[in-house]
Amino acid sequence: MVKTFKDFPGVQWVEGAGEFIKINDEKCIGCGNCVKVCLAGCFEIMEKKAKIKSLEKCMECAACWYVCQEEAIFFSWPPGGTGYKSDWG
Amino acid sequence: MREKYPPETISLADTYDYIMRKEDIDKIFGYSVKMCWGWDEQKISPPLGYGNGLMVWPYRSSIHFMQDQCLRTDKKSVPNLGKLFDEYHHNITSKLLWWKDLVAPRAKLRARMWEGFEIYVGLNKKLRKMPNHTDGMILIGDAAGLESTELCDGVPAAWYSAEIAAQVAIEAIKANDVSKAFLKKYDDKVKAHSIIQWSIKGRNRYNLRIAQQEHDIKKLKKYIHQGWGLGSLTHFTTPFMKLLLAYVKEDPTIITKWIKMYFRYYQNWLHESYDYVKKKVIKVTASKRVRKKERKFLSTLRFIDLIMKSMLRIRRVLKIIIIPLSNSLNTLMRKSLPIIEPINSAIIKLLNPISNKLSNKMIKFVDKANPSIFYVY
Ligand SMILES: Cc1cc2nc3c(=O)[nH]c(=O)nc-3n(C[C@H](O)[C@H](O)[C@H](O)COP(=O)(O)OP(=O)(O)OC[C@H]3O[C@@H](n4cnc5c(N)ncnc54)[C@H](O)[C@@H]3O)c2cc1C
Ligand code: SF4
Ligand code: SF4
Repeated sequence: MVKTFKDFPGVQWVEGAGEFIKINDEKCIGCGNCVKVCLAGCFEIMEKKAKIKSLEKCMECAACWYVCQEEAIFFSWPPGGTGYKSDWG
Repeated sequence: MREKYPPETISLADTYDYIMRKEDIDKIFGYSVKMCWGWDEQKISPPLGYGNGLMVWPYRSSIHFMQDQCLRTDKKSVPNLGKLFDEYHHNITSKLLWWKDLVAPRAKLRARMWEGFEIYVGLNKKLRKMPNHTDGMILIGDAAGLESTELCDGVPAAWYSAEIAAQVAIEAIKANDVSKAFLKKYDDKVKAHSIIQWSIKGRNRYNLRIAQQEHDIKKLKKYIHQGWGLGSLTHFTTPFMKLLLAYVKEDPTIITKWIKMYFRYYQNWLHESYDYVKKKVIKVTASKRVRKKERKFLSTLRFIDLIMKSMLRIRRVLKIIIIPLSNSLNTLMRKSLPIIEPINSAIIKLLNPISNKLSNKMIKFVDKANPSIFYVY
């Protein structure tokens, strides 16, 4: 199913992406870098650890993966034509 | 094969697509791109400061507004991008006069999207030295960290590296050897490619952060001039000429092919004919005047081809004059620019009315010409 959101017009999300971003709790130090760079608000800090709130607005920019110095974030692009798509470049 | 790039080499491009009538776009942008830099506390560009910026360019029947910011600057802490980008976008759309008065009344938001790009990888010597090949594998374009640090574009280097990769891959398959040792050829060729190397090492865009940190308008102007003004001739001319010569040697008609492609691109833009799948058919006018101009255009191109072919035949001219000249063009430009520049500005002012007329004529011709004359075979 394709989803859209009012706050991010012109973008559609095809569901079925699976866990393309995961957090390793043991490595996470709760620094909040991932929260600060994610424009889709996908992360939150709970009990000094990052948690994924929801990946439904994720645009697969990999910024969270780049700023996590503890290597606590696993990132890969969603497989098989699922995930973010847009007709506008 | 390669290490993860540090956040200061990655920029997040937050891009907005605003629908706008093509006539308005052409009038406001004059077929070009608008860029903007300011002091960081103004928050008009870039949000947290230093080395990133704002670019607005025409895209189909819309404009793209791209604000970009590195994920970290100079190993300082990671910025709160969500908050900064919102503030930044608000400031530009409500405070920048050209946006407020010219664009805002004519534009409507259609889409917002963002993407990370590997803008400053090439500036890091260690990252630059990392291999782009291993057994049975070659990395090209962005994956090889080949984005232009200066122009912020990555398509040309992706294209050049793909071309080299294809050549090496064909050789490897023919030799039945896809080992790391054989594929090293690829990296050697990338390192010898004048434009790729120029484009991943340029520091002018990066250096804007120094000017911004120091609030030094002189430096700001200097880096802009060096990066995108006439100053770029002091570092761009040699790699460009080297590349041009290499292509002309392989195919002497390449220059006229590029001219045709450029005109075709322009024609597609004028007729809003973008998609190859649902491509709009451009109507051919029956005017005799246009046909005459088309013949003139094609014979000029044939004349250029003839010159290039005969130049190639006189290899000695190439070896004794053209190659050494192209190698020293940067130095030549460095020495002559202080003289050329004032003359150039005076000539531009003087010729402005004529060149405006000429370009309007050119646009009219491209608009009406039969698309087939711009085809490349
Ligand atoms: C917002 C923005 C604006 C830009 N504007 C310009 C510009 O105006 N001019 C310019 O020259 N450059 C521009 N660039 C840079 C340019 O887009 C890139 O440098 C260029 O597209 C790189 O080409 P590439 O082939 O190396 O990589 P990509 O175009 O990224 O291609 C990689 C492909 O691999 C696919 N892929 C990834 N993982 C897998 C997998 N596991 N299996 C199969 N496929 C996979 C991806 O979906 C993608 O299609 C811009 C970049 C951004 C982000
Ligand atoms: S950036 Fe990494 S370490 Fe920091 S909170 Fe996020 S997941 Fe945890
Ligand atoms: S990839 Fe980008 S949009 Fe997706 S969760 Fe990470 S930072 Fe957010």
